[in-house]
Amino acid sequence: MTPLVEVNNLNYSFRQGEFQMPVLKQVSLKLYPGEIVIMKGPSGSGKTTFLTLIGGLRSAHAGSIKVFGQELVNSSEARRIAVRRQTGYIFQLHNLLPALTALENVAMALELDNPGNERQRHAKAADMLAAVGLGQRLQHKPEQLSGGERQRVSIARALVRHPKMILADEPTSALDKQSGQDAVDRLHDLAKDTGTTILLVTHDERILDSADRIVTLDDGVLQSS
Amino acid sequence: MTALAKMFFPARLAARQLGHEHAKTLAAVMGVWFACILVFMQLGFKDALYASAASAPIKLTGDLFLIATQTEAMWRTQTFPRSELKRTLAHPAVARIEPVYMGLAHFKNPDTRLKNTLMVYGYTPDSQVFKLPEIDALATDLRLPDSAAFDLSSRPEFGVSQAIPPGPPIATEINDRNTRIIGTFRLGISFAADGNVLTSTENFHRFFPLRRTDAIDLGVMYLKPAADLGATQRDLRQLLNPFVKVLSYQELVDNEKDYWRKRAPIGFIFGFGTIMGLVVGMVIVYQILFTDISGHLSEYATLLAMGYRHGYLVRVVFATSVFLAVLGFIPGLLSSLALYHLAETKIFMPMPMTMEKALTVFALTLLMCIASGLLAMTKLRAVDPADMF
Repeated sequence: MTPLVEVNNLNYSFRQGEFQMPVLKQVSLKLYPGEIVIMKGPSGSGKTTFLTLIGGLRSAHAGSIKVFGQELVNSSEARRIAVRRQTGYIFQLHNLLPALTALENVAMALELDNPGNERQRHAKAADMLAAVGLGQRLQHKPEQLSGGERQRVSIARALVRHPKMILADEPTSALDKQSGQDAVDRLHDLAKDTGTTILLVTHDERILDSADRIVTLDDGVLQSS
Repeated sequence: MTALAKMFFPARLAARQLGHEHAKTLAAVMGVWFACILVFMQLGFKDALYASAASAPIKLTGDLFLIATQTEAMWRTQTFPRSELKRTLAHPAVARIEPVYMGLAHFKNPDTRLKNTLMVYGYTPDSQVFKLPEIDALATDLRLPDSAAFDLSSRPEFGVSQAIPPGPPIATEINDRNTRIIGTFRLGISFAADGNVLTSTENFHRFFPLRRTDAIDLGVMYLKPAADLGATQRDLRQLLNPFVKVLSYQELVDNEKDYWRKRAPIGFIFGFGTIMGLVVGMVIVYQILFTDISGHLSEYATLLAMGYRHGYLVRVVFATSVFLAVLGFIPGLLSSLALYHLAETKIFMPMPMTMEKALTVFALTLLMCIASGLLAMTKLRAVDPADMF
């Protein structure tokens, strides 16, 4: 099976004035379609930087990152935007637009490519919200939802475009145990149903058993466990 | 994506955000509203000034006009010898000439007995130098000693508010000389003179006993039918002494307006007021847009992470500023209409709301809001999806 993401000998450093701060050292990793991989490691180990690099949010200059068959190292902004559009993101905070209802927030992900008509977008968004258990909360604004519900809306927003890959950064850290477990379970089930690859960065020991594979990043060096 | 969809989606997001944050939106709209009123009033006063400054020359009937070269504006003329006007009769195209005397005089309010300054015009009453049908009817009576006609557009402190006839003549004093106001007309006042009085040449010299009869303020010339106005004007300029100017009707009116626009500081003051109003509005709108973007940095960065382009955010901010311009302009226009009406009825300034003025202010408001938007967009550069994780 061809990997969806193939990272080879990736080096990345932050520049601070004249100093180079190496963050990622010779990292190599393959993600296969439908796989759920959890990346753990102490804070400051470079997990988040790794996520932004394969998501096309940041550009690297040494090594190789192939995402969906496209080389991202030294790539153009247009190619990185193309990768972003086929990727679903779930952030630590929900980052929903406060002015929009849950339904409108999810539908915004559909306005990008081939918008179709409003009715179709809303039908798809409503289906996805129902799938995360928010079928009764479509017209609520973020301020009227609980923390767990908001994060489920942002999961629905990430999944509604049927992305090839989901990147999630500490999605449960702002949630209590029950709603965190609930959110990850739904993410897990939906990803398994649709064959979506997930790379999930977390500290949260409670959700490790959802993973097919666990890798550890320590001080910029990747160890498979 | 079509061009329409490109603008529609960001505009809809902008509208939803404005609708969501009532308090901020209201503050921004009030800023635009305030700026609109300021600009409308400044432009209204300025136009009223220019319109009223030329209210007397606009009603003149002649083809060509003679004024002293040293005269800057009609409210304070330099005189020139009447003989210079008579010389123009030598030109074959000139059919008739009329001398006009002008001077500022004290007019006593018949009720309160307070004296105020107004402009007195002296000319041959039946010569129709001014396009005023009321005066044509009074032509004979104005020749009677110490009689004059009063401009009903004058400010109310002169104490004459009723049309004559049908009202009875009013006894008062002009330059401390007993006078009867035997009729009224409507000419219009200017910033220089709060009122006008018309009378015959003979009466003018009764009010101004020190003025020489052979020194006139304005010469009005009527040309023969089919005469070439431009050629006659060129000929007269050659023939006459350099201490007089030969002006066409349009030149005379423009000269008067230009005086207030350029020579007097008033045009500058109103222009300055307009700009200050726009700057204040711009600062308010910029503040609102800027804090709005700052408060939405992470949401906007999420949109970029989802694959939205930077241009989408630019269009959201652009649409927000256009909406604010429209939302602020509508109450601004309505309140200015009320204020214009107040100015016309209470302080007798001609302040019509023209379509041109409304469009000008709308264009200025739109420019102001878009400029604020452009300034606020610099904050959008701080939106980086890489900072999101």
